[in-house]
Amino acid sequence: MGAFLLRRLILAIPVLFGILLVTFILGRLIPGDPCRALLGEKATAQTCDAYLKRKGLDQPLPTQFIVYLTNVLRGDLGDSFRYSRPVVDLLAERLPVTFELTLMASIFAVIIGIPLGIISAYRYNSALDVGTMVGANIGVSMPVFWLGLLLAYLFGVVLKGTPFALPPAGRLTAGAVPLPFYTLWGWVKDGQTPSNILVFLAQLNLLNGLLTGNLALVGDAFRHLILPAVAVGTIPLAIIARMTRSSVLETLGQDYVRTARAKGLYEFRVVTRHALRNALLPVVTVIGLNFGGLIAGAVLTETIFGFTGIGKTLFDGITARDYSLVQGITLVTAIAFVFINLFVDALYSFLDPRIRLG
Amino acid sequence: MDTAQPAAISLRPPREKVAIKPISIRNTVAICILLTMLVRLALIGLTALLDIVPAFGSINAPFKLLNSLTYLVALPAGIAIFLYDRTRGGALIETVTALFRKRVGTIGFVIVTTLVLAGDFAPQIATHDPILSMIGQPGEVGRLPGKAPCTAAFGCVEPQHYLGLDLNARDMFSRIIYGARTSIPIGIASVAFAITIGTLLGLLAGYIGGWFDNLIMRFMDVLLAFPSLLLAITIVTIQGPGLSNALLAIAIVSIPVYARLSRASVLSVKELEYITAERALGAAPRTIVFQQILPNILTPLIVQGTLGIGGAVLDAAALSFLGLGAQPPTPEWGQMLSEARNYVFTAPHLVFFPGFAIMLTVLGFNLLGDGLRDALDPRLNRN
Repeated sequence: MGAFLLRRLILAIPVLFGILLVTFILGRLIPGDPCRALLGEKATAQTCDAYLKRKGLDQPLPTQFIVYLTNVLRGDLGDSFRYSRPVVDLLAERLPVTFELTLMASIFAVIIGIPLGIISAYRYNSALDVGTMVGANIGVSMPVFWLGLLLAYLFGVVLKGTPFALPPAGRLTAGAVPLPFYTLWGWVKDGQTPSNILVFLAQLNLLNGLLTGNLALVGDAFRHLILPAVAVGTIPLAIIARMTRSSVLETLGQDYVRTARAKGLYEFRVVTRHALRNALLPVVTVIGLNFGGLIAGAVLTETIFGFTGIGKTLFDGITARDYSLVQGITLVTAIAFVFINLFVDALYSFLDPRIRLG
Repeated sequence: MDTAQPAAISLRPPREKVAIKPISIRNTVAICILLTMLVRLALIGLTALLDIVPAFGSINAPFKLLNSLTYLVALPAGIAIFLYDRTRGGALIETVTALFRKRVGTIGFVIVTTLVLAGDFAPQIATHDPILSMIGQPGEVGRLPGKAPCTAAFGCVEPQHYLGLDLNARDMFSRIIYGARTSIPIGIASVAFAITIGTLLGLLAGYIGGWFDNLIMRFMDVLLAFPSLLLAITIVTIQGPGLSNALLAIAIVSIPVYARLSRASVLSVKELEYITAERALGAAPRTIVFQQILPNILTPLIVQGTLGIGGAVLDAAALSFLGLGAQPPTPEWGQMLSEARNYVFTAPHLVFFPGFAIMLTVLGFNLLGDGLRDALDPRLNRN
């Protein structure tokens, strides 16, 4: 396992290098003078020259790329001029919001999508099956942002006052300020700046709530997560349900399933242990491939639900023409995407021992 | 008979008279409509595509003319294809019949046709000017922007607006109808662009192989490593917002899909005997690639492309929603949603209808793609 992961990591290096090269080139494609693009129209020639020199932008392109590479490797993604802060600090604060959201969305998609797919396959051509497939077709065609807005309207306005009402905006009820676990535990004294990793962890409301023992906070954060997670998770859910259905349908027709039935096993066991286990491989592939869609969904949904995750940050960055911010977010998500795919590959061998690692 | 010295060796059998199969009138009409719509879709895609490259302006002029003649061109062309195909054995007709045999494909086709027709005949269907504000118009004075739908059928006596008025007091119904003119061409054109470049790259990579294959495909891997919408967002941010830049960005990020698909098909077709035979006969590589390999790998590309149109429409709407695509006052569905998003609690109809239109378009192309997959290649039938 270790050797396999190591080999895959080494194989990922050229791709990571390529990603860096692409983001670098994208950064240089900004039309016009990069200095004026970054400092504004009113920058004088002197300030510009000084700025370009300080940022190493007066060097030839290959040198610039090496500078960019070393900066990224040192964890420096440049400064966001909209927020006047290093992009990395912004990411440490906001990436966890998106992380929490996409995680919830994929959990939602998997725990609903897989059972739905199994039942559809098992009751092939029944009303339930047809209904699920029609629903799945509509589900994959829905614009995420539209679904998000409709959910916000339905649960925030129509169902207001009923027990089904859910908060349509924000990560926590207004006014709630969660105490970061590092302050509670005395890891970081008042006035000190916590490291980015601690900030990242503390921003995960669910985790932070559990660590500080504040269950009310966990519940509140969870309620606020439901609507956006459903919005982001619907397309993956539809895809997973479709994939599970066709995959289970195929395994249900196999000889070993008939044998299992002939042995007199309970039907439930036949479906879950014999058919499903073997049907899961393509489903896992699809789940892995969907992370890109999840991230895209999060980008579009966060602006609707007022989550200050990287999606909202990206949106703000676009409106403000904050190139280093947009570039940094693209880079980080692409790298995350590569590692998620790596993880999915490793999961294969767990599901199907016949697949030799390596 | 002297057969010792044939003039030229050809693997193709001499053209024979094929028995023309009888075909019902209903099928004939359906097939002619479908072929007409295909020609129309191709025209839409071509003009939209040529429109974004300024250098092609002069080339585009004749196509624009064709486009303005729309069905005067598309209908005869559709019928001509039908007649030609009949004399040649009817392979196309068979595919189309297979498409209509499945409910999925038929529904998809009906949705797409309706939307395309709605876009083409928008001036006739729309009840108002999509860009003109109703404030101060006779009978409209004092209306609040974002007025709810008002239809006589539901007992509304005031000036009718089937889907209400938007925030600038413009008729929503007309804007939605005109929106089809923006979204569908973008979807088709970006896929057409991506398929052309992607297939070319995949063909060359698969056929030439070696370092060239490696170079191209590793670059495609890198592009695939980015979440596609995010890469598109970055490209448009840098290039500047606008419809044509959004179209290009969506096309660029979907190139790798087609490159991979066509490369994989080339690799499997390349080793088949008829290619070896063609090579032994001394055919030029260009002939082999474009005349022998390309036609044989088109099926999965067409299916993937049709399914890709839905995705492209969705992405274009998303970019417009973020303010990177169509700019106001263009009636574009994603842009309309973007304008109305802050008013979802007070004027939900402003959000509901444009989103529904997007969903319907994407659904139509997805179902059509599914139907085509079933019709063109039963082996690919996943259900």
